[in-house]
Amino acid sequence: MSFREKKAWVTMMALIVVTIPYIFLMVRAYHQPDPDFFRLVHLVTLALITFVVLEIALVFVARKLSPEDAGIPKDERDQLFAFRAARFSYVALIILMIAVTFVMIHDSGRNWGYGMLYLNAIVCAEIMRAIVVIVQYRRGY
Amino acid sequence: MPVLPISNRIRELRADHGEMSQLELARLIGVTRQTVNAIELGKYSPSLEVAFRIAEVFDLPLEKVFKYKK
Repeated sequence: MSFREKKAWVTMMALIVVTIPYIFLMVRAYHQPDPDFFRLVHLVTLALITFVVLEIALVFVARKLSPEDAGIPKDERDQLFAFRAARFSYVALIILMIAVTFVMIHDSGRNWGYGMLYLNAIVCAEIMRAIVVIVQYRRGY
Repeated sequence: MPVLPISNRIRELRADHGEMSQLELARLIGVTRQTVNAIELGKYSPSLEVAFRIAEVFDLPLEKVFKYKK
């Protein structure tokens, strides 16, 4: 297994390990009768720090296990895989943002403004995508 | 797995060049060993630039290393 594949496994596992308890604790803290805003911020900070520490430690281990290609920059196949992954994750992100927007709007109708902001963010991202495509066609490569 | 229309003789040429390893070839052409393996197995078609670099390592014209199957 190449270093980059190991790194992808590491990132996925670190995210899962950190996110599951984080969501559990966050939902519990949020549904308290009087949610403490600072407790929520602490949870986010703690999850972020845990993820970063875990990722660094595991990438270090992956590097030790794959010394032959750990220091090599991404080659064209690595870049192709990264582009494909970005395309899939972008579609997933847009679908999830639309779902979250509907949840926000249906939440007693209080979050219309935020819902619209989310939709506008999607529109901005799509405009950005069109611009990047146009620029590439214009310059020819 | 999709069948790519391009075949190659890299494995054979490596053997002819003093049993050159995939890692050695990878370092010479600036890709990872896994990419060389994927090219050899026909799972991945390299860019023209990498194809030329491979041909250059073996000191052969491109068409002696890669073959396009119609």
